Amino acid sequence: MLSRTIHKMALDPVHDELLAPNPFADAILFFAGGAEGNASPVRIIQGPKTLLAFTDVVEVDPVHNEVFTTERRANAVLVFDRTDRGDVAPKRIINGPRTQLERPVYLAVDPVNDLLVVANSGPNSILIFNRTDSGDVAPRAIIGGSKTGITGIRKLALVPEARNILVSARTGRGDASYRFIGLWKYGDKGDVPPRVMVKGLGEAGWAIEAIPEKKELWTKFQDTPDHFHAYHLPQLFE
Amino acid sequence: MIKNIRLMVLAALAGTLMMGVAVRSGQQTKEEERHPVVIELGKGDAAALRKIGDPYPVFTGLTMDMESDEVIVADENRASLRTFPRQFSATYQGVMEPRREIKGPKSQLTKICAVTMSPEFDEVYTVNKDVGDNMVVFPISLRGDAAPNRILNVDHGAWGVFFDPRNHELFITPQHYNKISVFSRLAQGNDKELRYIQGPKTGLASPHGIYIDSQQNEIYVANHGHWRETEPGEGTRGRAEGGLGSWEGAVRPLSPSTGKFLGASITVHSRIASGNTAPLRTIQGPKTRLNWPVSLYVDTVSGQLAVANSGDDSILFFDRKADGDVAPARVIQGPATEINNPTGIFVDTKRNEIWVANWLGHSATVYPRTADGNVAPIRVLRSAPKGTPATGLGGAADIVYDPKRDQILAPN
Repeated sequence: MLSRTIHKMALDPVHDELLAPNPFADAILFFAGGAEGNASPVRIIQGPKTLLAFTDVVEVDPVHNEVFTTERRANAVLVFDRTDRGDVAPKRIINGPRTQLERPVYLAVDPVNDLLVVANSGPNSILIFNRTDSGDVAPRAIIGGSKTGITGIRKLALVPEARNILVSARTGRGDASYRFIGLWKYGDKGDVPPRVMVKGLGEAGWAIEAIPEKKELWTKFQDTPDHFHAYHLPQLFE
Repeated sequence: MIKNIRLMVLAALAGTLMMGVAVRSGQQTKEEERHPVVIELGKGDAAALRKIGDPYPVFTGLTMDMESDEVIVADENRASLRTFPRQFSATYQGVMEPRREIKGPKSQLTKICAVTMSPEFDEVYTVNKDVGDNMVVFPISLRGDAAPNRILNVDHGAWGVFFDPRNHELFITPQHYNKISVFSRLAQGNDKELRYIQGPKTGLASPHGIYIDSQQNEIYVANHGHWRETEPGEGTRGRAEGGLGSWEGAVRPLSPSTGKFLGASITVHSRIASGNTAPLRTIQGPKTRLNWPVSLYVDTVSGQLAVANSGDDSILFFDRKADGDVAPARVIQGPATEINNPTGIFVDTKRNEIWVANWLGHSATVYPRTADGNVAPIRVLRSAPKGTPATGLGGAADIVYDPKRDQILAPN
């Protein structure tokens, strides 16, 4: 039941589950942690009430037992209970002109500081919402503009302990020199440059993962062959 | 099904090397004028602690030039088309170097999948999956880094491509839009399709490999079975003409979800079908053992359809006229076969052989055309030393850390 085009999956370390979207069947799949081989999902969210449509991104908040997705076609964020299964309606929806959601491609939840951070690919901005926001609500902060240097926002990673937002800002198939991973603080807003820019090595940033306990940043390079690199970068965790 | 999407647990994170980081100075002034601290990866002492990657070719699709007795294999990992002699020593177990290779930035090869060819027109065709969104065409005898003869923009997510030698048409399957696109051989740029098959009646559900039987005027398609409703005409081909501009489609309001798991299938369509038309036949159901079928080929001598069934490391054979929930007539499967995530298949009726590309095996394996059961290959074309594990990375788009198991997970 897994498919290609999983652009964000999520691991729930509290309940030891792995979540993956299937954009071709409009589904969210839950697997047991450590699942291997031809394993079946332990539950599936799928059906007309879910409003899922080409959903390729999923995030989990294991503290508050919620699951988040971005709907890039509908400019929306959907929220489900973590234990939902089958054809269930979202418990909350962020959607509407005040949200400024425009082609949201990625999101991350900080259950410690109660924030929801969205990579907004239309205007290449970072939208910061309260974790429990619902409806047509304005973000509490927006980071975006020419001084940010973001010309192709793609991925996010949060460092709750340091209140940091790491953003993979690539330009797709353009000049590799414009690609970077930027660090902003939770309090940043408006058209402000990142506090730290991680640059170099061509197509880095296709995917990123921050591991605070190791002070490591993992990044995926899209050059051929596909490869992952791990770096020890304590500056990103301060 | 985790193996099937090649969700790879990539590395235990033990043994971390502590390395410094090259830092260029940064002085913070007003927020809007601050200068970021710049870390240059790969410079100074900001070297990677660890790297995960596969340096060897990884085979996806393959095709055969019956006239020159050569096999052309698509190497997704290194973005190359590699040409090998069809015949080589059955006892050779080493890594085989190609006679020719097309590779390099001028070639515009990226994450290539299926490959097809036309000896008549001296052309080989391959599609650049969901990275390039195009099909590139080269002379068969080309080698090195050279530009394609033609580039055709296709819908996002194309996996399969097949050239119909009788009608001089190219058939392409964009997975994301449950569609079969048909182009003239000479189509390029933003040339329009001659016709397409797409819509709820078609039964297309995450289509991958495609085969055209121009004698019987039929199209065979391998479907993974992941389905959502698509509208005839939906796709991204309009991008270069100022169209949608993104693969995810036009902005539309939230509406009831349409997605379903239909189960893997082989759908058979009329070669000249167009629009939202139902398949002629559908092979689907638990008896079929279909599990992530990726590519397929008709054996015109036996009248059987051979399917590379990547989900359980098997090759399934069905009667070409099979319909419904039918068991395969025979199956090649088992440890002796060395089949490992098969993604490409070709039936050579001239020499009575079946070729299989093994995505996770660093190999193409060859069997007698009538092989059945747990049979060893009669030859193995290896791209890496025997037993070399494959990373399974194929356009991975995310990284997740599992702290409990100290593992990195990546979906392709």
